[in-house]
Amino acid sequence: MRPAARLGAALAALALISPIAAADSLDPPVDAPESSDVTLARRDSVAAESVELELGLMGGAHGAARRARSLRFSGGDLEGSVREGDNDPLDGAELDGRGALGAWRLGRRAPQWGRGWLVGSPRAPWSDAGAEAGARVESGPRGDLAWAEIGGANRLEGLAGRFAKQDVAAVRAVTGPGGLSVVSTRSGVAGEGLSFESDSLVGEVALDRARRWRADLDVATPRPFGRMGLAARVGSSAFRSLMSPARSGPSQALGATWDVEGARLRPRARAAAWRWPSGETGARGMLEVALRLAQHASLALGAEEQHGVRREGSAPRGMRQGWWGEWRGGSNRVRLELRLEAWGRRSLARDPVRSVNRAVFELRAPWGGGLRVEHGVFRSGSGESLRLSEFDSDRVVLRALSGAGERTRIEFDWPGPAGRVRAGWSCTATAKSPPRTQWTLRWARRARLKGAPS
Amino acid sequence: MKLAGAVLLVAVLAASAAVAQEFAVPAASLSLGAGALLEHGLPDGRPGGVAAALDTQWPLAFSGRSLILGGAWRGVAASAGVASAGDDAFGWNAAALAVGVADSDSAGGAGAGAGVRVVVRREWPPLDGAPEIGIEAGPGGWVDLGIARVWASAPQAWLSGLAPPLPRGLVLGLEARAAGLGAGIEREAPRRGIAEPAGYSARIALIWSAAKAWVEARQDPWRGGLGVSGSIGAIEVAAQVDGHPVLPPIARMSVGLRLGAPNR
Repeated sequence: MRPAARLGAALAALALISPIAAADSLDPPVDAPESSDVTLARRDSVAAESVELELGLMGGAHGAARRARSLRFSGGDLEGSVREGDNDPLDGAELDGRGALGAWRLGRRAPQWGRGWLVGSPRAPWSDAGAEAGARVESGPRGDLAWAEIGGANRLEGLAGRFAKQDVAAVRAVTGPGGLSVVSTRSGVAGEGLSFESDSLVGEVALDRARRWRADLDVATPRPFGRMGLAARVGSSAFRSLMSPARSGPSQALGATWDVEGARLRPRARAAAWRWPSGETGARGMLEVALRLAQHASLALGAEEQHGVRREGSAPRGMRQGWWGEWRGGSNRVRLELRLEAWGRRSLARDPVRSVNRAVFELRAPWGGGLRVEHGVFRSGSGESLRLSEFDSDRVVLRALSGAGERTRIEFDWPGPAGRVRAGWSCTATAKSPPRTQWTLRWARRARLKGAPS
Repeated sequence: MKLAGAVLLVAVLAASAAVAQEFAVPAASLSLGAGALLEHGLPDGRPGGVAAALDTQWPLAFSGRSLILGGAWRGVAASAGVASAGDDAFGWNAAALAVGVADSDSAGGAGAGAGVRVVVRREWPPLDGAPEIGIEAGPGGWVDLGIARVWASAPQAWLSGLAPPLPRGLVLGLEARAAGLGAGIEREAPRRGIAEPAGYSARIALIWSAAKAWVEARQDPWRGGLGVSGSIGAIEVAAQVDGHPVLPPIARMSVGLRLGAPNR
């Protein structure tokens, strides 16, 4: 496993250990529209030596139903997927292969080299890497890509593709943790950089053709008081990520993380401060304590303070302070999840600007299926960003909500002998607009490849 | 005049908001009782059956009557009820059905349950342009933690047609119990279509064998209620009066028959 992947796996493990409120820590990409739903891809690998076909229909109260189809397979050194759907932001094909000399990929997903300034996508300073890793989110840029590598610890990587409306070609020579990258467009060499990727350190220094530069570093240590991380970003204010310039975000940033894997008590903290090229600044500080209770129940309590802006050029909105509490518990057959979250302009979330009250009722059938009903009550003031995370096997939808209303979501899962049937229905009702319903119906069938070991 | 009476009654109901609706049988527990499944979607999975008749006296000489039948077998609970409120001039009929599953053992130990309720109402007289029939549906669930119980209910998660006489929001509750004593707190999220903060209520109950008494306090405006219940063999009676600083009190009285597991 690559060092960066190991770092990601460690973060994922941390997020899985304390997953209580992590799902609500997912932030939309920097370039996401303020009031639109955002769809993030999730890593969703099919079982080895098998093929999975999924057919789906989806729609709303009005308008025709839309189709979605996907085919995924994994066999030996070759695996791939084809996803096709009307207006599906994640449609496209992926093909991954591995041989004696190296590996290759054809698809839409860009790899992440270093911190993503030349190839990939830089992470927003306020984003929660642990939550993203736990949710298996792939937030990198999507385009058209052909990628290959030759070698092992000492290897040569190359890619060609089209991202951010420009043709891109890149090569990277890697020896141990270090790498040297050169990226070119049709206008010539667009940038070069050095990257370093180990279990505890991922860093990158990048230079573009105008001699603007960016240095970005993320270092983590498992000792002495839990896992601690530091991140720093400096450089020219006009430097932009080559593959996803819209997600470049602030040009200067400092961040720190702290996670403790206690048997019962699991605190985690996040702090970050950033400055945009225009001079606007922002900061956040968060502390959450998760407590594992008896009978597989858990409780998480957290608080956060935010300042400044997360979008360049947006109106400053002053201080926000919020708190949340989330409890999960139940039996093997019935589970309950409750969450309260409130944000305000003053300390202790006074002078409220947004709030979420949510309950999830889950029934699990002995044969593996189940029924899940989620009901949430939300209040969001003008200009406030409120998103609820909705998970599916291959994606997370960050549902943008505004105003005062309620959202109900019902999911049904039935693993029958002829395939797995999943159905979903959701309704968002607000005071100012008629209820908006959406539904999905999916059927999936998985089969072992002929000759595969059982 | 009829319309004015209806509007006044709805305003009174919304202002009092002391209790839920037609199937709120008085009980020492916030989450248990003969009407818990129909009213909140909270099932009692212990084997047995229950029948209860409920009379509610609202302000303005407005009254309601309800009949509830329910039972559970092998952890699956079901309940049905009918109710009628009002008089010839204004009122509504309601029919309700609820089902749920629960894991609790016969001793009432740790477990969990979840259910869903559906209520259909028909109101008279019909108002111009307004639907005559309304449907509300929603889930509820509880988890027993030994000495405490956590529960949630969203009784009006889905609404269609005629608006219910009393809007109800997402309710989260916590109840603790010890020998001879019970205490609970409940939080109701802002209700749909109403600009209001979350509302809180608290309750303390004293239990002497088959007799129980409880006091309840609710916020915004501050008001309280007092209830008693008792049982002789399979017969259970209960009553509760909810006061209000401005409005006349609301009184509820129920008589029921319980077979199988005793009420908690």
